[in-house]
Amino acid sequence: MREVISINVGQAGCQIGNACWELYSLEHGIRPDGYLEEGLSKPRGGEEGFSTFFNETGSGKFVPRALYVDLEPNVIDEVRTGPYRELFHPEQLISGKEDAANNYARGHYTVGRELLDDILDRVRKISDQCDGLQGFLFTHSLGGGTGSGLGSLLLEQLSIDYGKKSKLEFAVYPAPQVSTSVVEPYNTVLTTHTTLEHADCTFMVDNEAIYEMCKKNLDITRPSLANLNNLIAQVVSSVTASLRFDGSLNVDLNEFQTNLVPYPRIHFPLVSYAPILSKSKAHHESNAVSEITNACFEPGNQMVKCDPRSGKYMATCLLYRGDVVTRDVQNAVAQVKNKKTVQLVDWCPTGFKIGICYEPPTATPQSQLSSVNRAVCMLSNTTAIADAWKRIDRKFDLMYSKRAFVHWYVGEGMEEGEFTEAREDLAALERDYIEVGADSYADEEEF
Amino acid sequence: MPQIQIQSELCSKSREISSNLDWKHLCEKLSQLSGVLPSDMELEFKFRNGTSKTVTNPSEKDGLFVQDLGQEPFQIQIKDLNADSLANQLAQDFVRTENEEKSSPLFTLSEEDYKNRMDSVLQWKKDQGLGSYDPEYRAKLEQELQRQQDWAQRLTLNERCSVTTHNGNYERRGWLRFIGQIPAVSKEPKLWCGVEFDEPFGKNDGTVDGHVMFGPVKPQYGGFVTPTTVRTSSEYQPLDLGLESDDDDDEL
Repeated sequence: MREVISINVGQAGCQIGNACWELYSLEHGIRPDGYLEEGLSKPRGGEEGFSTFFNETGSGKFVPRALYVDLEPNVIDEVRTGPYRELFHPEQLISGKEDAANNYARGHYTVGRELLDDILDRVRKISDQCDGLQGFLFTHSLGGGTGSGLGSLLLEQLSIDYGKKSKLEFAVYPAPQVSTSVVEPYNTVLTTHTTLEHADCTFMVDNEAIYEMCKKNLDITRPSLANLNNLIAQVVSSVTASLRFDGSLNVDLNEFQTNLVPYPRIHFPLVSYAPILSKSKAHHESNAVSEITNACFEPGNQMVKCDPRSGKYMATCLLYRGDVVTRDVQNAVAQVKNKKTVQLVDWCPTGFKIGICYEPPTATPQSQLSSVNRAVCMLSNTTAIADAWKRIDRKFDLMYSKRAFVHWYVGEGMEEGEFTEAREDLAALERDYIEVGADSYADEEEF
Repeated sequence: MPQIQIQSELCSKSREISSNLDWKHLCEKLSQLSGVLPSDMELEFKFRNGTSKTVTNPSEKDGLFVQDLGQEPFQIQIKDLNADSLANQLAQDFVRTENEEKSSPLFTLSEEDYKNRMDSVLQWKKDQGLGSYDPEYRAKLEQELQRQQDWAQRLTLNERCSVTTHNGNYERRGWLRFIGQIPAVSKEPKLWCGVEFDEPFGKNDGTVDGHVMFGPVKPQYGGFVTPTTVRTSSEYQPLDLGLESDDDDDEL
């Protein structure tokens, strides 16, 4: 009834997509071939919720409402030959032959554009199977060529074709210390500028923050990309759980925007998740509601590195799942509101929104994450996330002041003016966050 | 196709690289990732059997790279032999600004340009009458400002002082060294008190964004607080926190 179409773009987007669909399938009792697990007569979690993400074919097979898009064939070939190959219809997997060479302009203007009609055609087919499409859920990276270039091109097009349908993104933000390519700052600034008016809500994850969680909390000495993506999938699953499972206090796709975004440009909530425990640690933790709620305020549980204590909160959503009672949640929220480190913007209405999904999280067999009976995912719109923009803008400036590698973009037909236009837009975004934090009469401050 | 870990000063990524690539195309691909020009490259290949091989001038070689190497590498380390190359300059710039706390921005949007943007939080606040554009809220802000100013007038500069903030929940003592506005922190005419603490319970040395507001004193001995948290009187002598006892022992 309230269907959501997932669109995974580029290498990072597709790999995160894989981890997510594996997890969704496990949670709902769907086998890798798309049929129900032995002993189940219907999918777990209630049919209404389940049907937002899966489509039932006449033969009792369930197919994800998902699309994989990449300009090079390798990553999607892995889906085509991997354990979940029968889950997807071949038409849901779109790949080109020539990669984007880490270049936004190739993803957006040249190589990517050639695939656009094909992709929109497939999106149309999937949306034709929906009774009441809610919107789209994107996963892509901001730093890669396909994720940034083609990802933003698709978001633009979907705005035109599907008007006001919600568009949410999970976006991999470049890690502060290690770049995956030298032009990541360009791609990030360019794609953020292009999508700023098209995405309704963007949840960022920074691979470095996830890497440290895997090391510190999950005791993985050398975390692999698969480890990182499994953890990201767990977070995505928490955010989408209330859409996928029937139950009380559910959150709709557009409610994320309604509750978290006071002004359209300020749509980058910080995501925190707890508990992140390895199997060996899990037995020593009581994992009470107040404990996991408090853990969300620890920097070690944040998906992006920034310091919320130095910022102000505009809105917060706490999404609980598993064995949770409302009274415990109310107590935990009251505690949080009294925290001195939680400063709220005091000139606009700010709120705490609670979502509860009674289905506990599932850990995939190969994941180091222990199975727990309850977990919480916090989405908070805080001005502290502007730190992430400052970091990437500064790198962009250092490169652009030398016009470093700009010719790669111009060579793909992009106008140089787009660089300055995008940079100005992000400078304005930084100013927007300052403006949100300004005008406070909080009677006590110190620095 | 195997994943190969590609590493240079400016990038670190594992990606699939076709074993059918010739040297020229391999170097082009690596250049797109690392920013190192093919002509400046030296490549070090690492293999699963623990051995490695260094190739100089790879872009001038003919043939397929995997065939030449005899086996597939799991890691390629890209070295930039040109010390003045763009990639090397950028790497240095990144490190330099990382170390500088507040490096001056290379790009700034003027206040004027920001004000002229139609789609901005500022414009939204103006249009909707929010924050300081809400008369009622504005009155509250001004009332608070007045309260701080009235309080500040009763304080004596360069006198002993006691600071009690809710955040800290404890009393700190020191010297009141500064009363005034700090434009670098708040554009509103907000008042701040600069305190030189007796103990390192502050957050700085009296300097804000490179401007010396007082002192400078020893790091962590300076801090800025809201006037109403400060009281001044010669009676506020240093608190005995029992921190000095170790020194006394040493002297005995």
